[in-house]
Amino acid sequence: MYSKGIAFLFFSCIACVSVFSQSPVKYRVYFKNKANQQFDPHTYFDAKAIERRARQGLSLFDSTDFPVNPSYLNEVERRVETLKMHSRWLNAAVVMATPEQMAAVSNLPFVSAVEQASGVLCLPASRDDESLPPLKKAEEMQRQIERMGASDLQTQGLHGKGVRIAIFDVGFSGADKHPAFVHLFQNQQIKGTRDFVKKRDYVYEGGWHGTAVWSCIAGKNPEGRWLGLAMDAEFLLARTELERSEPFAEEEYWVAAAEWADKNGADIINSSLGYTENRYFPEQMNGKTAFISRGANMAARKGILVVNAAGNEGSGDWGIIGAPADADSVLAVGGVEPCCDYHIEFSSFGPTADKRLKPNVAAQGRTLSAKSSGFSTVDGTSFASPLMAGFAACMWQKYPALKNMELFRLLEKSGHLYPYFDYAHGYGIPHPSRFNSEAPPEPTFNLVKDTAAAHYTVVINPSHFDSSATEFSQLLYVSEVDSRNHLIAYRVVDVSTTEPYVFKYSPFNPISRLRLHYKGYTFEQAIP
Amino acid sequence: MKPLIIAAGLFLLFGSAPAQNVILDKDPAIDSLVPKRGPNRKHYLHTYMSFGFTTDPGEAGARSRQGTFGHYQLGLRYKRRLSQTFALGYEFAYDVNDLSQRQEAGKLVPDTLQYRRERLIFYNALFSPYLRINFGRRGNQLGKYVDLAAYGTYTVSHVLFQRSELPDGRNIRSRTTGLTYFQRFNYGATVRIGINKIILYGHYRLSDLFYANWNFPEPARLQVGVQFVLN
Repeated sequence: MYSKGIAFLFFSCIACVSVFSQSPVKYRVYFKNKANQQFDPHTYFDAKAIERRARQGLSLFDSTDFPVNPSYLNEVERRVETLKMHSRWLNAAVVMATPEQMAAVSNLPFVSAVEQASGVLCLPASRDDESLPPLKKAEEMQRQIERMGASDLQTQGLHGKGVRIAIFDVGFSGADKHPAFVHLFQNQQIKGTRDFVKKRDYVYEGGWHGTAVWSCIAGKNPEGRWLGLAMDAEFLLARTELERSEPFAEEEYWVAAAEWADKNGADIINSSLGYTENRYFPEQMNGKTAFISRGANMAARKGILVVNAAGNEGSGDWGIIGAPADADSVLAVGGVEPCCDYHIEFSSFGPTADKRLKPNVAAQGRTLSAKSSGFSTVDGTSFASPLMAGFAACMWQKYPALKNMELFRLLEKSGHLYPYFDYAHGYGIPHPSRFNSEAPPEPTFNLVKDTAAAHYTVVINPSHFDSSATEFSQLLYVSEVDSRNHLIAYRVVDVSTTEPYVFKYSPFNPISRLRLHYKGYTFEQAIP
Repeated sequence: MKPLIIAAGLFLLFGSAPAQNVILDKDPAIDSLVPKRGPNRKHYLHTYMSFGFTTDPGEAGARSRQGTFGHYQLGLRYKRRLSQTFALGYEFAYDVNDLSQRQEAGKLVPDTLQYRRERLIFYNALFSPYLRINFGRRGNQLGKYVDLAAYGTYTVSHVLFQRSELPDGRNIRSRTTGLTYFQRFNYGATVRIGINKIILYGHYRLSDLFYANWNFPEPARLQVGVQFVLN
């Protein structure tokens, strides 16, 4: 018995180690160059992709668009179990291989680096909320687009016409038969579909999340009311996610989809997803570590506006934005409450690990959306992101000469808090009326310094205080800023009385400025 | 007095008058400090709970009932990360080992009589150092791993439950402590296979449970079960 037990333990160990270590694992192999490759952009790209490049002054002969050297792929494929996919942009291949095989691959003269990827679980960036009474849903539906200037856009005939939006999601279950999208199919606004998980073109299954997201760009309810702002846009629908599990492969699908979207002329990518603690550490949210973030930045280099949900980790342990919202060229969209311009509790906070502002802007984090059958109220920055993508499409329709990053900056600038920002709301909710407005708003408060007591007092101008206003509708934003324009601390005050708000700050913090915002007016005070 | 001074100091440093309602107050400078503690950080401390059962029958004369839960643990485990692949650690646990004796001909432990039910329960304090081998890339997660551990237990208390049924249908229950035939110190090896917070384990006792001079056959040595990381 004694020896049997020892044998059991021994073989258990061997079996476990074997199972985990000897079976093929996924790796990414990066190549040093694209030697001897030729590329004809006119045969590779859709006309709309060429048009975007021409409009934004981008070269048609960018080396990152050249194909991966097939002889490199062949050499790698001969040494590994399977070659799963490759990326032109990142000049990389994804393979399944054992550690021994990878040791051989990494010694090839044209391989610059290899990295391991494996599968783990996390959740999509959305939450169900069926708890609201039906009466309120109609109000919320109207508000989710009206607060972003739906009436103004309607008046100007701005519905995203001529703008092509790619949506990357878990699938679009039932969307091909859903009443919310009938107009899009009738008008042939769907220009391409691709399921990168199952490697086929059918995308109308896999999960309702994509259906709901799409509806927040261009959906319509049975009464004919719009759920999003860009009902005239064209669409590319890509499935890049699995609903129940989220393996590392999804990041590769995402990058492959971005290349596909670029090739097929996408102007905007909306992706309502984020990868966090299952794969990364918070200090890796720097826009350079995650594969998907590097791919997203590359998409931006191609002139595409990448719009991504900030994430729903705000009330969780992780707390901050995930990848690819951490990428510097990705417009990360946070969520606000339907009632007011205040951060909705689950919306992920910024900044990035390297202290860059995230989220960049905000939109309503609880929306009425289409689901696989019918309509429902859903929570999540997943739905704030498509509202923003729709808004961006409208503004790009109006200002077609803008480059993607110019549009990015203008979207930030049109936020209701601009030039104030914080790491909960970014620059706030964009509105077309602020898109090109330079008029400084009139002061709504005064800041009084009390040197003796070492504090500041904010005195709200009585003409800008509404005693009948509802809770959270009159907000004072206060932040302590260091010399590099990073926020050291920030807060939001619900102004419920005309009493002064007395603000003390720590003499030990390296504050160089105080920045405050109330009802459209931002004021900065240098701290000596 | 000291808490009052601290509270007053904190108010002076960070306080704001309560005339208005502060609904969000964030301190990113502190929030973004890289922590040293976490599932895949330098240090990780967590509690766990185990439920296991006996899988081997034991030697003839001391056979245990198989397949019923009889091993429970509530423990505290520390992990010190050495690299993305390796970690060392140790744990303390309250370990309950419930050997439910099979009542059959030839039974010798603890006596030759057959009862309706007989359980020999040991309440142990356990200490176990271990080596962890992790597999695959992960963030701040436990990930996939194999633990190879040695353990030692000291029996803090014990009890022998015996239940007999008389011919008239009445039950007689006896509870015996102060047994002198078992060793208080035991040791063995453990293998754990884990995926994040769920672990399968095998727990093998290498030491003999009974003193050699009693000539008792050895009861089951191997227990397997499931363990849950609680926090």
